[in-house]
Amino acid sequence: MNISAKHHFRTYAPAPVTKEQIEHVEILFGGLHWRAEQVLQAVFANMGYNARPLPPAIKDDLLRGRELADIGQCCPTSFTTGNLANFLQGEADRMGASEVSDRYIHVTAGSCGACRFGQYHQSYELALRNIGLDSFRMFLIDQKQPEQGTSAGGGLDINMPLTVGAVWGILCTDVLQGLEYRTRPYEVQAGQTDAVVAECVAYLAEVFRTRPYRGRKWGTVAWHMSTGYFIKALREVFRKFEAIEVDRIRVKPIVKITGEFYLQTVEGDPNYNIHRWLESEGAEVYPAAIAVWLDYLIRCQLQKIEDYVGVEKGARAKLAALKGAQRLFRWSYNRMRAALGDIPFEMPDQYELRRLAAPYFHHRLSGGEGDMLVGKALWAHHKKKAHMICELSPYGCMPNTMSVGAMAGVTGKYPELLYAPIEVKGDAEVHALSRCQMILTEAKKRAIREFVEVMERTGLTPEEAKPLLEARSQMNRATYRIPHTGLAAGMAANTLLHLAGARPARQAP
Amino acid sequence: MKFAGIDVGSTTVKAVVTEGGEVLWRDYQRHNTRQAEKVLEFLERMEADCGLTAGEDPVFLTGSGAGLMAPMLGGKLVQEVVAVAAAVEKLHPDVRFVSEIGGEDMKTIFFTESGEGTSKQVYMQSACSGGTGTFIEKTARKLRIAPEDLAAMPYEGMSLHKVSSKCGIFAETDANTLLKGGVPVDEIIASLFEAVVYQNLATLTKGNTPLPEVLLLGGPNLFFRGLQQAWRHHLANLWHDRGISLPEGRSVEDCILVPEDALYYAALGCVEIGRGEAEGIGRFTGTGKLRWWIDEGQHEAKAKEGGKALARGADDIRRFEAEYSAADASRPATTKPVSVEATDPAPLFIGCDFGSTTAKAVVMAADGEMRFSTYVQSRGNPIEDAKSLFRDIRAGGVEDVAGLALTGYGKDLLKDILGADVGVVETVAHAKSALDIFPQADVICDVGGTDVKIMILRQGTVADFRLNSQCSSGNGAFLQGVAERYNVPLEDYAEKAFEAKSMPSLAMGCGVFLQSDIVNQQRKGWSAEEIMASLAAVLPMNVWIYAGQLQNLRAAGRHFVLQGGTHRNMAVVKAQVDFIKSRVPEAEVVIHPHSGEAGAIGAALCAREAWDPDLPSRFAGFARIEALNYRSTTSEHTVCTWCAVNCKRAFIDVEVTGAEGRAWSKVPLEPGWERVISGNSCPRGLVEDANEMRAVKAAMEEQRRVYPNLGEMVRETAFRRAVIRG
Amino acid sequence: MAKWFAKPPSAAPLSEADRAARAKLRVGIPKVLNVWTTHQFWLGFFQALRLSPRNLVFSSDTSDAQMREYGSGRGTVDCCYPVKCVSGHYGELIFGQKRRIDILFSPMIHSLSSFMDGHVMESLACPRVMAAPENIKAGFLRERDVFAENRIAHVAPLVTLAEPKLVPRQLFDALKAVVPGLSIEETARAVEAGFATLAAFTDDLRARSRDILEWCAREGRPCIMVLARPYHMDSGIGHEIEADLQACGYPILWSQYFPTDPDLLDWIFRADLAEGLIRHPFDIDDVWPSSYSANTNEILWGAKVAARVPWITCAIRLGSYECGMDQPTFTPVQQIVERSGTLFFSFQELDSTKPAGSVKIRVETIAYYLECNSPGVMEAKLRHMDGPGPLQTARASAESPG
Repeated sequence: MNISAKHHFRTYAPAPVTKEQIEHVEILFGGLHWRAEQVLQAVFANMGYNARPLPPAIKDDLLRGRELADIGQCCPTSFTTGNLANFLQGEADRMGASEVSDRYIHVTAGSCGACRFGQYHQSYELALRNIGLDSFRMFLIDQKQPEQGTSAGGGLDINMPLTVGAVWGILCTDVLQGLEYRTRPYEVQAGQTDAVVAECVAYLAEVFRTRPYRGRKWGTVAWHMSTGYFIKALREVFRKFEAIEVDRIRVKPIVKITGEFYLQTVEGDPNYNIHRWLESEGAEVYPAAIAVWLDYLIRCQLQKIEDYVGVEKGARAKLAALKGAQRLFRWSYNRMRAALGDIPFEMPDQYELRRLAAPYFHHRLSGGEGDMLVGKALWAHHKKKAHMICELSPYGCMPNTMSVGAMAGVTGKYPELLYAPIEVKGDAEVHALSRCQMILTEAKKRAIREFVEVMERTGLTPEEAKPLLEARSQMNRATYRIPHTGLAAGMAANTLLHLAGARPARQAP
Repeated sequence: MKFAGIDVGSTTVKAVVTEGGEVLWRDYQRHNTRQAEKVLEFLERMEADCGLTAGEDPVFLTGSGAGLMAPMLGGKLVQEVVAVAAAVEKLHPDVRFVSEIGGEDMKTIFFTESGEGTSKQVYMQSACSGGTGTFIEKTARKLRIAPEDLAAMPYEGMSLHKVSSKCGIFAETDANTLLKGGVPVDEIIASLFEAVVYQNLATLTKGNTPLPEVLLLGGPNLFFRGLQQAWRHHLANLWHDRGISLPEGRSVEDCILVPEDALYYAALGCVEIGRGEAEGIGRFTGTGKLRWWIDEGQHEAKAKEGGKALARGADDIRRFEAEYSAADASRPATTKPVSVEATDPAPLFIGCDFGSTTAKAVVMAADGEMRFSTYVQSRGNPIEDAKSLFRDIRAGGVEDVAGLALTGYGKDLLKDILGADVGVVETVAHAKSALDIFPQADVICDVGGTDVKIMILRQGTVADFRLNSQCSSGNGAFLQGVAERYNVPLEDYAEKAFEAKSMPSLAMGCGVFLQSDIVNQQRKGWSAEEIMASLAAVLPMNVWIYAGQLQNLRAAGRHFVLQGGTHRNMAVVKAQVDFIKSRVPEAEVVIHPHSGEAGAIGAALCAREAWDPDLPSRFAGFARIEALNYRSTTSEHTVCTWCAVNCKRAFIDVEVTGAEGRAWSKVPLEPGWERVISGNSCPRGLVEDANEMRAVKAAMEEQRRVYPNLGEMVRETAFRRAVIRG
Repeated sequence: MAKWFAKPPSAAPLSEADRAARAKLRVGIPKVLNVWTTHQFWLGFFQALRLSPRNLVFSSDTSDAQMREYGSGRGTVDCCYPVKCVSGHYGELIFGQKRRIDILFSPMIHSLSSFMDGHVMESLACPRVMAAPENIKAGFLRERDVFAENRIAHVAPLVTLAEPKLVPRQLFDALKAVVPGLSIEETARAVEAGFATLAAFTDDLRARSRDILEWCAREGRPCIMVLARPYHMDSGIGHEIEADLQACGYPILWSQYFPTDPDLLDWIFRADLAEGLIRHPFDIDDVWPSSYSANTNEILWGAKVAARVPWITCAIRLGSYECGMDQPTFTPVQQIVERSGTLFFSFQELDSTKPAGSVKIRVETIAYYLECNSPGVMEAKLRHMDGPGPLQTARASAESPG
């Protein structure tokens, strides 16, 4: 026998996790915001797994990540690599390396294509080797397939109930986050919203932990679609928000967060805590829902099939089926949104985003958020959903730099679009935030000008509005929906318009 | 209500107080690194002169020092660019482009008219000195130009030379070379202005065209007449090229404004922003906290920051010195000549390292023992340097030479003349000598006076090589500069640095900014030894990460060899060892025992390796080297024309039997002679001119014809007309 | 090859007027990025559309001078150098032509046809590389429409060369407005011609590689394998570093053009196949499971080949500064090559300027070790092979490998 085949380099292949082992194993996961992570933990628990989110990534993780993997990673990869490595290292110091490898496994979303973040597991593997945890087990979940069967060893079963549970968990926390961000900037009693949100997340986690089992195949999908179980829970969440008193006549610019998936999703050092910072600088933040990303992933699949219509038989039927699935997905989101009084922002139509972006960025250019960054910016601008776009652009991100470059064409055509691409390096906070403050100053002026115009149009002043609001006490509740008129973006301006009885204007085509 | 706007910059404090849009009070002063004290003085004068009242009037601060002080005063922080833009929009509504150049940063702002007011794009950079005020001033200081002269020096009408625009250190080197080459000082300065404008336009426009009107802000733009001229020149060209028409009846000069009171714009902008804020925001809480900070707080902060030192107590130093005493700082640079014949008549090998500043030689016996070593400071004539080295070797008692190997910069020039058996590249020589003393070596880190070399070994070969000879961060010259500033002889550096019980943290990076950081630390009360300690402590970061671009030390290996002159400084060694071990806890770090001669030793080892007892050495012999007949030519034909520096080279022609000569040269050389070029400032200058390049290229072409390259085939054939078959 | 075209429909013959118009049509193609691996496809395609070969112009190799003269101030975002310099190529084609071009043809190559197709997940282009035209054009549009001002049509179709069935429509939709009388059928035939031209060119180069290898085997001489993206063949991007080594007396192979003859591959990978570590010689699952990127896949595969073929005693890795595609592969590629005892050297920080001094030292260093170690490396690797292979048994044909 020849020995050469044996001594050649082989890639990392994790040892299997058996059914017996999984009982004593803790599944580590991370990379989302805390609300979603807490609920996902409950989804795992519901499926009988012991799971926990990794601690929030901090600056030290960035430095560690840079140190442990090949030079030149994008900053999200550095953060997540360092985060995993630091956590495991800490545990290894406490209990020893072999115990860590037995006790924990890491589950992470697999590659989303040919960008370097899509290959981040390579960095994880290198980091694990560099800290002497070669035998630590890490598993990738493909984002494109809802169901992937059991992993080697049979211990971890990525099945339909787990996947659907995770998606539903994300949808629920998305709408909760939406409600939270529309409330906190206007809360009368500081800190109240945060307290209510914490309570709601804990409550939702419990709801998911005790989710009934409805079969391991399509039955569970049908049940999730049709059940009132989650809607009821969200109504309870809504009821908890009722307690929050708000003052919506505070003139604040709305800042829409877009950007690379990880950076726009997390809340912490990896994006300089920009959500909180913007709020403290006097803005209302329009966060990026994970649901929109999932919707985009469905669109990407649709687009691939679309190209084959007229070229290959059966493409049309496949297209129709997947379109149906997308409609069901969006319908489910909207149902949840409705349970929160339709206050969270709606999910933009993917085809509208694509149409808006088309002159600047081809829809088939894959990697990251593709044409969606351009599309979302234009969508928010044209529809007056925000005064300003804050795009979180990771240092070294490949797809993101391309769409930021293409945005030059957009701002050339629409110079009035307030667009702040913030390059996030992880360790140049002052720089990035001051850049953001610069555009925010302009957005504030924009919000004030818009408010003054509405005052003129309605003939109402804030002083005159006050008694009107007091007379309709439900309007001072977080759960009262101020309709978006399409005439103004800001909450205060829309409140005045609403008070003046202005009917929602028809959307410009 | 009064509004105070204070701009706390890196060199000055600027402040205004306004009421109802009227400026009541303003001042501008250098703070000489005492930012807080100056701000306090200003505030007290504001209170006294125009009745700024705590608990009533708001204060807005901007600038690099504002972040620290705003909370102490109750004031609100406004970002600098935001402030400047606000002032510009109010005072100059027609301005479309602003360039603000500061001491350590640069910014551009583009204003675009839009339906709803103007939108702004801002670009800035502050990580590197290229394009900033420091960039100009540092070089001007080096050229000994008084500040007032610098301000008046023109750009227009000057002939320009190429000066690196990317980094202050590069620029300084270029300026030195130009000066050496006899370029007048005012042309160098004009070239610097050119570099600054180029750098600003190249890095901070990002696809936008600066349109009229243009506003130039910041100290350098205001004070340097030449810089303003450079801007006018470039913008006029740009507008012409891109067909941008100026407003009716305006000239280029009219469209580029340099307002006299521009220094106050950031402070005025603060007030402008402040007037739009809600009441109560930024309300002045009095000077008490700031005073406390000046009197006590900053010292407490220093104490908190300190605590760490190069060594944890005397024991730590003793242990460290015991382990690394072989490389003690008191050890002389070279070993004393030893009489050779008495001890060892066996085959002897000579290794020579012809570097750019010194030439070194060692004699090695067959057992690998070093018998003799010597060196000379290069005097610009490699033949004389070689003669001097070999005179020393002969005087040391060496007669029969079994083999000669050369390494370093001069190896190709001298190989045939001295009759070397082997010419080895520096990396290989260093690796050989390191592996000889430390067979497991993975990494060799050579820190010299002017450069940093890192060699990474894998499978016994130099797999990766980093050379940084352009940036001062990390090399020994920088330590030397600081030691000189404190009047500490370099030999005493380590001793002093070890005395420090605590030290400040310096940020890794650009040497230019490290220098200003030192001033800052001094002001905070750090002593000479403490600063020297901190400088030694930051050196490893600069060597490995900043200059070497090696984030992941662990991937490089476990066995580290430190060599080069800077590693004679034990404070640096201590910092290096601690740094490496913090990254790679299981690392072994050794100091090369003959740190300075590593290259020559490696060469000697190569000579020994190549030795075949049955074949005679090519060594020319002491007598022939001593008698080398040469003539030196310096004329207009020897001036280097590869770049604008135009080095005045010398052609040193040496008589060597069998040499080919250079019939094609402008300074023709008959057969039997060999040419050595000296006086060039970069490797390109080693090639005589285009004629030689053609000769070299032809030889390379022949070689390439014999050994094909698929990439070359693609370059040559793939973009030609397609041959469509069948 | 694309065999999808079941029944070639007869296209309407081209009118005289259209034919004349096409003969005059000038097309400029920026010689950048993946055009470095699809060059002959485009030439074959346009020639099949009856454009005159004289009128198909490529920009010159990347250079600092090109960027300064034609591209400065057009960049919209900090990016990797190979993408950034596309501005200079655009500018050269727009402003630097003696005869004006009518079409600036800048394909957004989404995926590539790779010899590894079918054995890898996908053959995508780098996300930056594929999107480069969208990004670069913004610099020529944001203030004024430079294309319109110069009467040049900017045509940037998204093409999925890994899915040849889709290509005719992609190109037809993009070109129908600028190529008179174009029909989908004609486009389809031209696409087929493009693929055929490219295949013929590639086959020819593979044959040359095989000649080199046979010469090495016969003479017992070493050669060097370059592992790089195709655009590192651009003298302004790869700085011809491999040519410096070539001048030291070593033939240079590039992984993209390594011979794919079954007899050779079988010999190289026999042991791995026998042990079930791979399913096919093009399978790289054993070293690189995320096989999405065509160029990355080919580099990884090249590394495996370099590790196994005895006469390849050294692999040279070229990579551009901060290349995100290369970054995760640094360690695997190095490990693949080095585990076999093959020498490995990488230049992974290439940027606009060639660091001449340090490259010279490095090339000399590599040449030194190549000379010392090659005999040993060849011998050790040969020992591991399962008997003599097709290269050794090939008949002598020439004195030099070329």
